[in-house]
Amino acid sequence: MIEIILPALTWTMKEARVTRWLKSPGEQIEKGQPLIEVEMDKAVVEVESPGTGTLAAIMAEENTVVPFLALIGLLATEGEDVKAVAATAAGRQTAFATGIAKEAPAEEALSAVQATAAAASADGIRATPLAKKLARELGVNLAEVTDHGPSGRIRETDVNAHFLKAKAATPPVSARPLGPSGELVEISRVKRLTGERMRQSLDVAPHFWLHRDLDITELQNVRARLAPRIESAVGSRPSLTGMLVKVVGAALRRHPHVNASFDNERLLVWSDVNIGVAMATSDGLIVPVVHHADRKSIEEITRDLAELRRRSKDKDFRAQDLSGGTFTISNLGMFGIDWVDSIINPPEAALLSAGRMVRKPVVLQGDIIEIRPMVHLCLAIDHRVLDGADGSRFLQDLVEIAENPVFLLL
Amino acid sequence: MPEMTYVEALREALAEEMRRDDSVIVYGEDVKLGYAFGITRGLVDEFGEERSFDSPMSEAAIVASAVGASLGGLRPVVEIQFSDFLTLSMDALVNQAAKVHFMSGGQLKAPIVVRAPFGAVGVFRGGPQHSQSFESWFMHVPGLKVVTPSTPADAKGLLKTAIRDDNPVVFCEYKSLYGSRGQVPEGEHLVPFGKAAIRRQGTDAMIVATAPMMPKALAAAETIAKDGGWEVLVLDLRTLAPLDKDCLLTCVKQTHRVLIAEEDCKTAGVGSELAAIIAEEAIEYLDAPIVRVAGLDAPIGATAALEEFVVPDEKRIVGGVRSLFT
Amino acid sequence: MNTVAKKTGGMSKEQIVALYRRMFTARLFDLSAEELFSQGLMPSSIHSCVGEEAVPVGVCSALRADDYVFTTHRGHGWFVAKGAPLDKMMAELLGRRAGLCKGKSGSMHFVYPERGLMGSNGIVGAAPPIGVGLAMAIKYRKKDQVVVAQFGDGASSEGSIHEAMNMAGVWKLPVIFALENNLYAISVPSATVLSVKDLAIRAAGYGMPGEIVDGMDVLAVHDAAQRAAKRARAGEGPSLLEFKTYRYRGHSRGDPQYGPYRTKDEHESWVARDALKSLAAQGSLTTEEVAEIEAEVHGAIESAIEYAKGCPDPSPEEALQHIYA
Repeated sequence: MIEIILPALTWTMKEARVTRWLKSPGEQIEKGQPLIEVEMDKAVVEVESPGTGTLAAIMAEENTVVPFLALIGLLATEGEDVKAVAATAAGRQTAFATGIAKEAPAEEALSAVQATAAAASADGIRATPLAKKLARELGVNLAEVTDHGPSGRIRETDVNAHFLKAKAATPPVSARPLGPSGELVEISRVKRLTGERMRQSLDVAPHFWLHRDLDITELQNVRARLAPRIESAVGSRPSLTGMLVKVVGAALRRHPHVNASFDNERLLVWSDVNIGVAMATSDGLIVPVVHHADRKSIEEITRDLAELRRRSKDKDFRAQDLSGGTFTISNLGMFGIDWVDSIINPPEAALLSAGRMVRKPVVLQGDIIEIRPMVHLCLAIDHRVLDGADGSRFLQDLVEIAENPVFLLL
Repeated sequence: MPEMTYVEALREALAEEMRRDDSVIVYGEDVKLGYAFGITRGLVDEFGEERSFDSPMSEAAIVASAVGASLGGLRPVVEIQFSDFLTLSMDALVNQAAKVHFMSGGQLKAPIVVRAPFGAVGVFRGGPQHSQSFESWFMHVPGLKVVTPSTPADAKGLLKTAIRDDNPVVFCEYKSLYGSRGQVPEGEHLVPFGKAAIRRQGTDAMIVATAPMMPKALAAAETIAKDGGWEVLVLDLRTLAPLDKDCLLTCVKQTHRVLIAEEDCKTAGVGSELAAIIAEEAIEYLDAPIVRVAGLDAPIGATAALEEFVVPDEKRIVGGVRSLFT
Repeated sequence: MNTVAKKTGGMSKEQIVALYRRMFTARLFDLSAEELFSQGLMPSSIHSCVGEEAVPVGVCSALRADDYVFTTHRGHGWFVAKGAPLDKMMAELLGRRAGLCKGKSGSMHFVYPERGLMGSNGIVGAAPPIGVGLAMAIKYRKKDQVVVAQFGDGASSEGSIHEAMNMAGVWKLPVIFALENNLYAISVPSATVLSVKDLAIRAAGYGMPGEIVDGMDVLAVHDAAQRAAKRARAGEGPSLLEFKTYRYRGHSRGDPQYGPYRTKDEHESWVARDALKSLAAQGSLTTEEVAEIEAEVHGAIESAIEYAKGCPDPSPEEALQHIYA
């Protein structure tokens, strides 16, 4: 017995319509002779007989649609009982449709989608993705935020402003009844932005502070010895702050994970060491940056800082001067402060502040008491980036380098 | 460091690579005398007519024959006189060059470079059929690399890299940049593909600009710094395929406000792809919708006034950046 | 100008047998491929060259192993003729990783660089200008190989063909433009879309000699190709050979044998001039010799099919390999 299979006639379709059997059951046929006419895509094609014999059973009626490779008939070969072969067809018959299956019309599919979209109605609040993210982090309910930009969208700065207002439990100062008289003073843009950033920094980054006294004897010695050469080279003398930039740069190279930022559950470890130095201006606090501080000499740092101070005075900063920082140093010694627990400059991980130099008695080896120039250091740390042990190791290393400047040669 | 024009930098790149490797040949219409924009001028004096020569006016065969020559072991750098005429080479680029390596199961390679001047504005005001830049068409074809230098240093470094790359490269030069001057490092200067360059630092917003828009983007950033006090980062992607997605997204995360500047028509341009990438992978970092400043959806007319109406200028970029803060 | 190629009877018995074997292999390969397609085993369509075998076999018999051939979607015959391995060809048709192109190309983009088969092409008319480029490289490196750029009467209307011929003509490149005129471009009779009846006359328009050759006579094809190759190697430039031939089967699988655009009569008139029959007659092959050759070829094709059926498919991830070098 030979099976008559509808061959795969083309690769652009999967089925065809059987239109005409050219032989009837009981008739003889030879291999290669046309046996069936099949219609595809409006063209009629002949299908040849797969063998020589008697057509025993037709299993796909005319005008039915048959998938390629389906069984559509049986041939009895020489010597076989045609009726017996025909009888086996019954158990193997597939039901073929008379029409080609229709796909759901495109219009129906589209309206279904539109209906679902309409049902999932917008909550009516327009906020930028960053604002939404910040609101989540700060626990702000966007529905309560009344500030927005000219476009009507709630922005990061609006969420911040709302957060500030919400935190202030007291009503606006100017609304106090029967209070002392005063006048409203404008705050510079720099001061306002700084305030916002500091609030955000404290609220988003869990701060802790490590303290340590630094003996600056050796640092002052080195500074004094280098001063004449540096002054003749770049026109100004190295400051204590400049020495600290150099020391911190070296320490950060040895502790790369301090030179990092917290970014959405991961640490972004910066490859460049760019140290910002806090400076007070008439407009407020700015933090110009010494780029690649780890790779610069004290002479170069001195030159950079002098230039940054000049630009600050002349209000002549370039873009690079105020951006790209990865760590900040704040020296309040000149304001007579012993120490300060600073707020980290976001998105950095840490900030080193220094207080004024105070001559204190210290107990050295062999219980000898000496008067030494001491500066109090405070390292503010973002606990998401470093824990107490990491921070302490860094601060300890930093102090060791500062008290033994020869280690800068390593 | 020596200073030279974008054209001179390209010419140096070609000459250096031809000296280094005798399988590098250069041809196209008017290439022998360098009569179109001058890049190939003088090469025939040093390398002879076998290596720097004119071809018939047959953009399809110019690129297809380059594919064939590369199958025979040469590294052809062919010139199509205007980017607009690449339409005549599309089968050779898209169905042939880009797919040779794949269709042969990795057995064959097509290391060709197809150079053409793209874009509007500049010395040559060409009108609708001589001013287009459809880099996005080529970005869309896997197998092609798409390179877009914006400075003379990058023009030289990227062309040398393109010639040494084993893949077909569409090298997009820009008419408006041909006369620009810049410093070009001495010695063997190669710029890798897929590494963007931050041309200006900033944290308040960013502009990612296609090559012809880079000068306008930088000027706009300066204007904004002076007037508004905002510092705008300006990013130069340098190559569109491969694309430095990491750098793009890092800058987005740093600045939160993105403006995409491109010269050619906005619809389905390079900016659409960049905006989609940013929206897919960094949407939570955006504090404003992405702004695209692009050419208007119109052919570029043949007069200065018409061209200037359609092609974006510094003012439109500045306006766009301002809207990022609303 | 319109020279009709003369037949050469100067071949040895072995050469005649080899030609017969090659032609029969090409024919049986494509017939078997069609059957495999009917059994649903072939992932993409195929374009049979049954009836036209004398052209690839005749041309390739005049070439060296290191000469190059660019062919079309109807190119299996050229691969058989130039000695590509049957088993790898079959495996490629079935989309297996062991195929010529690791299963990536299917029937239309076969390559076999070891024998100078630098690409079949699915874009009609695209390969000849690529072939011209390869000829440029040959000339640049001062080698003496020849490039055969094969295309059909339908392709002859594509602009790329004219660009290729002009370029080859002006630069005197070692190219043989092998035009298989089988009178139809899918369903369109050439007579209705070509501005001339004999395409060989266009050669003059491109600065090269043109010849009309009886594509059903493998010896005539061989002779014409040999002369064109000699010209090319001597640095005299390209030639255009127009082979008049006929495809027996439809354009591709799914296209019926000759309706609705061809007649049975026309079909039968070409079958009467069948290249295999005519070679057997010219070479005085006995029925036993023919049967022996055909049995051998059947065996070879069957083992190629067995091999191919046993090969594994490429893994899906390979879809992303070889996009960039």
